[in-house]
Amino acid sequence: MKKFKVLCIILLTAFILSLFNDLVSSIISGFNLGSSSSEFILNSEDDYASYLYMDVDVTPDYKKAEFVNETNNNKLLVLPNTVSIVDLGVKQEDSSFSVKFLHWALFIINIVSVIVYISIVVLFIMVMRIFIKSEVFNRRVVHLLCLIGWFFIILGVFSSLWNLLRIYMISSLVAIEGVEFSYRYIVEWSTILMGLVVLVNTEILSQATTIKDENDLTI
Amino acid sequence: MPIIVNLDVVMAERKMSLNELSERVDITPANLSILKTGKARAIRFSTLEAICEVLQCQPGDILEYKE
Repeated sequence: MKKFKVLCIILLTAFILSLFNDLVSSIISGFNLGSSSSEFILNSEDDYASYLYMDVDVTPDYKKAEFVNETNNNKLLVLPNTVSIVDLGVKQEDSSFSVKFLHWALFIINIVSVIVYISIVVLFIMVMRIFIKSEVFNRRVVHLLCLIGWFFIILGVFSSLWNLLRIYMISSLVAIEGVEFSYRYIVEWSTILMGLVVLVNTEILSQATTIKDENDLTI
Repeated sequence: MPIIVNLDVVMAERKMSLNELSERVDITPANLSILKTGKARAIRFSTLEAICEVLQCQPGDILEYKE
């Protein structure tokens, strides 16, 4: 059980560090995006309903840049794969019902996703605390892991829906040469797959708990 | 459950308490209580053998099948 406790502590530590890393990198990239586009946005005189930004794929037509490799003075070609676009969006007075609806839909999906994400973190910490006390084959653990699995799947579905609506909204408002709005990567397969893996392992743990309960009642 | 445990009947006939039986059979009183109240899911042959030896009875005296 000592090895199991050590693994649980390592897993919990890695999980918290990954969350922190995601949070910090999100804040930094958001700050960089905001500061890079601030002059562009602040110089506009009209009142806009919202600003649109998105990371998009570029087509082969997109401009390439030649640089010089300073270590060997060779020419170097920079081929952007994805770019971030910032658009001033729709003016307040031009904002149609469908755009407003999409904005609200995205906002609600965001709120639900954040709640589900926080729930997953809380449930995971609860499970780890039970594991660290060496109580593995426990109906409560099975129930918590089942919830985690379903929450991962719900998060994957909602994230995919968010991606779909966002691409749809921005592609209907923005057209730019050399840039394509692709629906290829809207499905968050990794999150959904994580949920399914957790559910399968939960089922295995549930059967193990049943065997353990029977064993406990074997005189 | 179709298998009925009549341990309490045999214990009463032999005038033996739960604690005394548990000491002689080397099973905890808690486990013996689980057996007596019919909550046990399984019993090992070694345990059944020890109980029959102490109570001087047959397995059929302790275990009964009723549909």
